[in-house]
Amino acid sequence: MEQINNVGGFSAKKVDDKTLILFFGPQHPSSGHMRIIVKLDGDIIVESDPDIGYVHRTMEKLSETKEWIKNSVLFERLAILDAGNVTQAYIIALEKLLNVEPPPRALYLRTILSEINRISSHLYGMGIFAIMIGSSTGYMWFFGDREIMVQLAERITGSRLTHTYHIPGGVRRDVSNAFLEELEKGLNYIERRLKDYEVMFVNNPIIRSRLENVGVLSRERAIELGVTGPNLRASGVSYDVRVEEPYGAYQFVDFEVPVYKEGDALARTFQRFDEIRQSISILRQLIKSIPEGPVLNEKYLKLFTKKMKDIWDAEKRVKFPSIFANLRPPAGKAYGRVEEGRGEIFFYLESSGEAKPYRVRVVTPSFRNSILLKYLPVGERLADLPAIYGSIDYFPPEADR
Amino acid sequence: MLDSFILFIKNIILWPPVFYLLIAPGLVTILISLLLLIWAERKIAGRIQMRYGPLEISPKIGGAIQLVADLTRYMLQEIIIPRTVDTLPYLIAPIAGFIISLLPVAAIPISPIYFPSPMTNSIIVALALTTLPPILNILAAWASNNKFSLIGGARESFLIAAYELIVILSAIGAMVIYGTSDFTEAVSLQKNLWGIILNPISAIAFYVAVLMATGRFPFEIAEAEAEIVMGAYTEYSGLLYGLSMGISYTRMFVYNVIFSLLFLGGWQPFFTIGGHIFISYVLIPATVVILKALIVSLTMVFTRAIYGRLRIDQALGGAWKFWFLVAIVGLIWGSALTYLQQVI
Amino acid sequence: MGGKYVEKVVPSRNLSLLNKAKNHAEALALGAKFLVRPLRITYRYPIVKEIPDQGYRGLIVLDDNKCIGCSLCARICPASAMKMFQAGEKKLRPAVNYERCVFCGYCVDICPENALKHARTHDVVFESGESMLYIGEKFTLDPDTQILSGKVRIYRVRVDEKRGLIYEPIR
Ligand code: SF4
Ligand code: SF4
Repeated sequence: MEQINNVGGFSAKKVDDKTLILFFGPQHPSSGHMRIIVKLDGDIIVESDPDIGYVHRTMEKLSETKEWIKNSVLFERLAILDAGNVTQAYIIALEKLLNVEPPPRALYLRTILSEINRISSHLYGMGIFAIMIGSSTGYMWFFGDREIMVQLAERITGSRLTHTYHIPGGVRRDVSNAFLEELEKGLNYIERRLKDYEVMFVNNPIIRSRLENVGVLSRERAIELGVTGPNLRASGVSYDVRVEEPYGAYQFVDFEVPVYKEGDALARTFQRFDEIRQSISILRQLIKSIPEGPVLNEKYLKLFTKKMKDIWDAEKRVKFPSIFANLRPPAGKAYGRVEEGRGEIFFYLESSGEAKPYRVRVVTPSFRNSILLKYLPVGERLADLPAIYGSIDYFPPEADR
Repeated sequence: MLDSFILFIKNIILWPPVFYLLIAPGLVTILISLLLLIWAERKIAGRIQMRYGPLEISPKIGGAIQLVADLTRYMLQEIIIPRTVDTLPYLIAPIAGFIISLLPVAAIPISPIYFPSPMTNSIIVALALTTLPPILNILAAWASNNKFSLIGGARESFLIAAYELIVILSAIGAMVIYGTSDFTEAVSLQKNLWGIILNPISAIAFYVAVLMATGRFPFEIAEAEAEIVMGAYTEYSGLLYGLSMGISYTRMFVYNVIFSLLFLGGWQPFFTIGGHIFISYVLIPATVVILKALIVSLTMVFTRAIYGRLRIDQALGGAWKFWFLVAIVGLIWGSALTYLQQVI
Repeated sequence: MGGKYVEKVVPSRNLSLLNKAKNHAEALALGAKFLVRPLRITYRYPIVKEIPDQGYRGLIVLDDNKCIGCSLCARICPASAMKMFQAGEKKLRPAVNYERCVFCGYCVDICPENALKHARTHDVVFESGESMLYIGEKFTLDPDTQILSGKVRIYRVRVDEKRGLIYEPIR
């Protein structure tokens, strides 16, 4: 295809007569906030061009105008379905700058929220995936059961999605034993439902035929493209931040990270189901071994007034010391990495000793995975485009930042 | 004067061609069945999918008249005709499609002695008429001047080629057993043994082909929302859209009336009530047939809540490589049965 | 302790026709089971209302007597939803604009006098932009009392092992 005209920044291209250019989105039932320009030869995709950026909110720049602690609220809007993990990465980096460590109970609570978020994020992704391949029951089931995880997260944090749970040096609330019992019930329920999902969704021959050998991502290709998260592991690469660089309470629990070799949509689906199973097991271990103690670092606890201590004793709710409104980390650089539901999220923070960050860089898993939409659909049928889109669990607001 | 006028009206309504096309199994019955079917489809899906389904409009009867509300909304909605469409075919397609999908009832009897047009090969005529509506679908796709519509139309035309043959072959598989191409005779021959027992293979092939023909899951390929928005009807709005949605349900119901006549014994068990000719020979048989067709249709809408959507190549492959062969086997089975019957 | 990688393979690829038929039957049977005994997770929202647990971050209420006008809440608000206003001579009081508020609860948590608290209601319909500004006396009224009155059935949601979520009537 040659460029034949270039007028005022617009380029006109000559299209050969055999291909059909289809603008898949941004107003399309399954495109999400993005557009994929696909070129079709008959029913076969010969070229796919993801056009992202429709929900770009200048988050990195915006964060330079806000105080450190306020940015946590901003960044969780990257992916509200997985907010706990996003803020955790930011707060880990911020804690490195401030040189504070959360106490053990806070680490456990963070990890509990992380895993609850991971389950709900996977269920969300599977739900979208299900409706993209036409299984409305899968859609409703995954979304319906995600509600249980959302409710549990609400019990911990007070908010269904935008948890804003992590603060430098700890977490904002403690949980009661009644909550841990409720969590156990919720886990039992999800575990039982996983069997139903298998019968209705992955083992259903129709669904399976849509997944098998669709969108195959080879190991080499996955490494080359810099894919991350379950998509990477489903292609046979062992990489998980929770193992490579444990944070939170991951070093206190035993868990497996499944790695599948095949790299097709089916392997990615199994990958997610297995990760949900592992999350359930991690949560059970955390419930059993969670230590007693404070949930905020000594350094800040010392600043508590009597009133604040009373509230902590009565409601197990951390009042912020007033210094939080005006945190000034010493000049320096730090990063934070967290394994989110969709892959690794990376924060790089640079402080110049001011009340606001000098620079924040965030690399989100969806952005790294978005490149797959350029390479995986090529050679597949048009109907596989939504299947691939769903199977890589792409979340546009997170990619666009 | 008035009496004779009422009698005149009554005679007109009870005149078989009018009765068939307007009352049963024509317009009125089909509209009521549509109402029931679409409501049942949503309700079934709702129950399986951990929710209520329609409820707001009439909570006391489980939201049963939801479709009336939807239709009212469609009727009051502005019909937007895009500037780039080919207006006349664009307008004709859904309207004609809906009417034509009703046409086969002209050849389908629902009672042993009371039919719209006496003919000896009504099965063939009815099957031939069922093949018409998809052409209007393709017309809609072409007139819409939209790439998604076009792809939907292309998919539909691929599917027609696949399922028509299976429908017709498996119908022949039943016809050879009865040795007739007349519905009335075929039904009367099923007095003791229904066709589905005599030739289950053809029955299954017919059933699957109907799923495919009417775009039920997992063959909802020509309208695949997640892929091509709404297929051929992407550009439609308002009442035209409502009509286009009704086409597939109407076709399904008509197909299922044929299915119950061919395989489910039609109006058998047939009984008469002495002295009430109209009730015995029209109302009761019609009710039996329509009930059977409704039950089969219910099993078809049930699949929506179970399956996803196949890819077009998988559906076509399945149709040609598997169901086509099944239909042929059904035909052979039917012929063998007939042959054995003659020999023994 | 810690995680380890475990290699896995997808079980049973390329199923035989018989296995496919079995899986079809299982899926259909599961659907039929749910059809007969549905596992409902939704509730009829406007007629039946679920109210969240204590600790939910809903609308914000000011206790005017406790507030000392220190403006910390306004300073920490990440969405600039909370602003200080002159409420009499030498008296500053916060006001919240729900057009901006993201319900992060920072203001509630930083208030040194515990003058702010969360109500449990969060689903309010505002008819105009001005009505979203809660200032002065309006900010000190507890919205729970207004919203929970009226003819709605109030339920509390519980996580349940069998049914996922169950709705327990409170009144
Ligand atoms: S809840 Fe958060 S956004 Fe709302 S007023 Fe308080 S600090 Fe501001
Ligand atoms: S932080 Fe509390 S005491 Fe201070 S101004 Fe706000 S409400 Fe009043």
